[in-house]
Amino acid sequence: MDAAVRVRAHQPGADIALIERALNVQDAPNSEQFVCVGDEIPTEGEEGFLRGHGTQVVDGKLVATVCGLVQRVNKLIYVKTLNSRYNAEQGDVVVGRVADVAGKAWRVDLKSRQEAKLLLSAVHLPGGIQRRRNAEDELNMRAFFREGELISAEVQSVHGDGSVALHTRSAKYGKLVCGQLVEVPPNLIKRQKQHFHTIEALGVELIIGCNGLVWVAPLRPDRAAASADGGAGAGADGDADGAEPPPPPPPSRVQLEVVCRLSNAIRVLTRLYMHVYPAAVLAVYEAAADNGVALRDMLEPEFLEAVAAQEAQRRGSAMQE
Amino acid sequence: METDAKAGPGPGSAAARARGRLPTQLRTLVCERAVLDRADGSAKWSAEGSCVLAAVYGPRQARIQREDAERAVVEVVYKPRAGLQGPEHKALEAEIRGVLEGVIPLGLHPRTSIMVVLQVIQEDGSVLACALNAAAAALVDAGVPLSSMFASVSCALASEGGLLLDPDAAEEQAALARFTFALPYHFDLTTKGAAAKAEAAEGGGEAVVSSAVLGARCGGDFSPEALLEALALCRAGCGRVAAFGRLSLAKSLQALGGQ
Repeated sequence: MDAAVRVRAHQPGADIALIERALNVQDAPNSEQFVCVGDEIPTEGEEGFLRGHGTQVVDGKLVATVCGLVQRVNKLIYVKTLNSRYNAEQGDVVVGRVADVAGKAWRVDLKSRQEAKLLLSAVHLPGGIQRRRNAEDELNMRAFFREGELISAEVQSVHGDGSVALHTRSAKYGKLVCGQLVEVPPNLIKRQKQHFHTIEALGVELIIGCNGLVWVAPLRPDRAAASADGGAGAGADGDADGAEPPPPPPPSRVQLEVVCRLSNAIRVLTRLYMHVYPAAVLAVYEAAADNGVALRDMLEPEFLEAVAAQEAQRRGSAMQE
Repeated sequence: METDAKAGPGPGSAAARARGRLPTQLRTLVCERAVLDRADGSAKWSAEGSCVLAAVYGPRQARIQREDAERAVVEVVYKPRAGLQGPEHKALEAEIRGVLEGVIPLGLHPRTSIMVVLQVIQEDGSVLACALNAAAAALVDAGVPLSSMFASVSCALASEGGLLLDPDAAEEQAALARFTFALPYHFDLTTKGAAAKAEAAEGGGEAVVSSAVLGARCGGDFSPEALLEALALCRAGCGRVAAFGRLSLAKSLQALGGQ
């Protein structure tokens, strides 16, 4: 009988060595771009530049406050670190956990520097009616979201002191139940047009939150309809959504395996420090499924090497074009 | 990720140190970064016999009782190698917090807390200096903005009158006085001449240790002249620690530089 638990010695730097080997990134990067804390960032020949994150002005010179790469976008100069907490931007789709219910707002933990606030007035009332929230609504806040529940929302605004306001004013946002959450470093998530992905072929729903929390769940028929309608049908199907939607049927073993395999595919991408977006996740999923890799072997070094080799090949052919 | 410090003339003679170390010679330094998975940043700094593991959590939401509406709150936890925390460890926490508050721009992250946990793994003298260096490396690993990098080094006033840099436990025990300094530094990459430019491009450059002092911990029987001499010696030592720190950082940045 196969052992239920495998214990392996921790090898620090093994993942990095694997990435170096497979993707052949031994050559030192252009060292002029790397700065450490206190290094001066050269700005000759640039007038009227804007200074962004990770910089400060000392004695008229632009000095880095973090270690990382200097990025220049138009007139903006900032330093990008390798890993950092999520910085909210307006319009980002995020997945967060409700930490507290207080006053007229929920406090949501986005794994960012501060907890975000979801005001009662920013939530979609059942029935889609627009009305002023009264005291009864305030007392029934827990009927919407309780402490510890996962929700998907959009960033409404970011204030000067860094506090973030969320809203769920669309049928596609709301409570997330019956699925798996994978935590990914936020640097590996690219902002794209779509963050809600329904993969019909596999019967799963994938929500890639900009804050690094990725939600994988079996597709439910009512949610499929909701995401297809988007926000437009919010008012129309208000009557059907009057009460809480019926609890989803327990997922079958096949569905569970698909969800777990997709989650492991995301974890593989995280270990290899590769960007997480649907095409990449599906590519790793297919690589595992086609080669009959068992679920728990997906995080073993052999499969990681195979995926890294595949990525190296993809980059090689992309560069040749 | 090791470097041997260059030997230089010492300010005074001292009896033979263990393994023939010169009075102004640092022990071999090793720095491992990103050691812990769940912390925002972590680093393990060792100087032969002394080893400290630092973990940084933050900036993240502070507890309501501790949060400050205008600035970040720095919390330090110092855990000794064995036994429970005592009042001397609480005192060390307060000192380390003072040093870190001097170097982190707190106004950038209001209502957050930056927690630095230091666990002493091995003690063989100069543990406070080791802990401060580990905290600096962990803060860099976490991507917390710092207004300046800092390095820390200890020295001891031996009973014969000479100063010993980076003392081990036996030397500290026998010393008349012990000094630990944390000094800010930056790298001067603007060097003149083609040859010097080439060296700078490789990540060379000169470590310029500031004349300001971030933190100092001195104890024992010493005169003001001895204090100033110790400061000068530690300034030279910090320069070497800075050079090592940059080398170790450059190496770890290289690995993920291709992304």
